Amino acid sequence: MITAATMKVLTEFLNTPQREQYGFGLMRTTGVKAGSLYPILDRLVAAGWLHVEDESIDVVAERRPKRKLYRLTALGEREGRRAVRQFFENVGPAPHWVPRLERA
Amino acid sequence: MPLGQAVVLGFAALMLFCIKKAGEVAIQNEYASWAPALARLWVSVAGFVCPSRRDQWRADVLYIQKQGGSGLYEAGCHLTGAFVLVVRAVPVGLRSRLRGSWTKKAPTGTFVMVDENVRVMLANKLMMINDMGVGMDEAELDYIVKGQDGLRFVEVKSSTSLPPGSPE
Repeated sequence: MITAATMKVLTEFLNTPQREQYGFGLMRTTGVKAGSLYPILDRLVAAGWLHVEDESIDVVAERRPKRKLYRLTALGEREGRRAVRQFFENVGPAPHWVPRLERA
Repeated sequence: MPLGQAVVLGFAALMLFCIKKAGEVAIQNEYASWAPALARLWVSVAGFVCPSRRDQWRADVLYIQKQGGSGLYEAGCHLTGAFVLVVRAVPVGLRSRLRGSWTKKAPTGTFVMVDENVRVMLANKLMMINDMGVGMDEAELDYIVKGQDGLRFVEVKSSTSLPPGSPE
């Protein structure tokens, strides 16, 4: 069972499975606040769905510390897609009285 | 209204207008200088509140600033989020501590629900019994076997050379 916030984070990873993401960027793209985002990331890492590693940069040349980068694992991609599908199956279609959202 | 009061009021109004204009100029024109500094300050405070994330957040905000952003919005969100993270960590820490003390005192044979699984308390260890009727502790040193005569506790260390899962 995954929450809506976990769902947003997972979807962001699944949209571009090869892309490495970092905390601030994920907060901006998903809209999930820091208080929820980091426990979600920790849980996904512990489950083996995400792999976390330090950025490979020359800290002296770049003049900034290394970020922690999160990347979807093969297990995470497989199980994540299944979880997302299950999530939408559980939620079901929107009732007729819910107005349609205009996509940007 | 006497002339003196009118002059004072007019002067005060002019001063307020000047201060407002100066504030606007400072906020708009000097944004590039004060916003990144404020963002770094906020991230430092957030890191002080939640030290385990300090380096990660500092690296993130410096990366955003290197890309040309101020990072002010993200830093503000992380400042409030740091307090939430600390508050959320308290019950987790308490739960693990209480669970640790509880397993030392719980009577043998107590069945408990943990993470939607039924576990049994045996010899001061919480063990989950699987469908095969075999349970193992977290360190995988001891295990229990569900037989016809009930649950039996087997200590791997003292059960000679038999591998786990072979009680006889």
